[in-house]
Amino acid sequence: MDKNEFQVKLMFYIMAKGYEEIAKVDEEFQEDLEDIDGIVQWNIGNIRAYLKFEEGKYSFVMDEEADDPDVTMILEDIDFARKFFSGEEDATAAYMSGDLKIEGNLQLTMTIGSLAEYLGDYLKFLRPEE
Amino acid sequence: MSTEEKVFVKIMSGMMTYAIGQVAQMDEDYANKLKALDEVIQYKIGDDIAYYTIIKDGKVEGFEGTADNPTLVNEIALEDSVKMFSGQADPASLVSKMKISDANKALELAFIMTKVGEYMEGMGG
Repeated sequence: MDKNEFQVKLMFYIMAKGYEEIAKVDEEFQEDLEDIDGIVQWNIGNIRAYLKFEEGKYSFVMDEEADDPDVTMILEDIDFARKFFSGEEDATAAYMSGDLKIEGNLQLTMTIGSLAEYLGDYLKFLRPEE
Repeated sequence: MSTEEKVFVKIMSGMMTYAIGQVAQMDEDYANKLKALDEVIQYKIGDDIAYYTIIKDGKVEGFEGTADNPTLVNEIALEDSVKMFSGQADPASLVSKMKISDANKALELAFIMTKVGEYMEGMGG
């Protein structure tokens, strides 16, 4: 792992940990979680991690591959992944361009995509100028 | 202080603990220094947030709550921690506003976060 990959990994961790902390305090987020069921594997360069949604509960595992993911999100280019997790690149556009590859249940990724909107409220302090 | 700020601090403090272990995987010198430590570092942020980091046998683990026998306790106001984690304030500039149980120990262990900071440089864009 080099410094660039390390930083992208932390960006991913902020997203994954963010869902965990938001789920503890945000009732709307908790209600949304009730409708999500599945395992989302992320392959980002050499980074492996997965998010698990099950019966309204959420957890995540770093540095491991899920045995039987419902969907796998693949970002092969680490520089593109940096832009993706910093919000510079839109997920839909990334998918259309092929920079983000999705294998498996596309509907699940769309549902989970809606969760990302919550992150903005809780991570807005990272971009205080906005 | 808002719920958003508290959640933000919890996310970022969790990330920092994770980052220590990740840097150790990249930096042999840093990993060797961690292996020599047997520490329980307690953080108290504002009135509501408490977590601690155990560093032992080269492993780094983070836990929510209050440790029984911390070797170092750092207390910081929530608003200052938001400034620190958002990059609005240099951590060094906040030291004078922190309550630190053992200044010598804090100096001895300062390399832990200093090195993580070096690896995180440029992360914000």
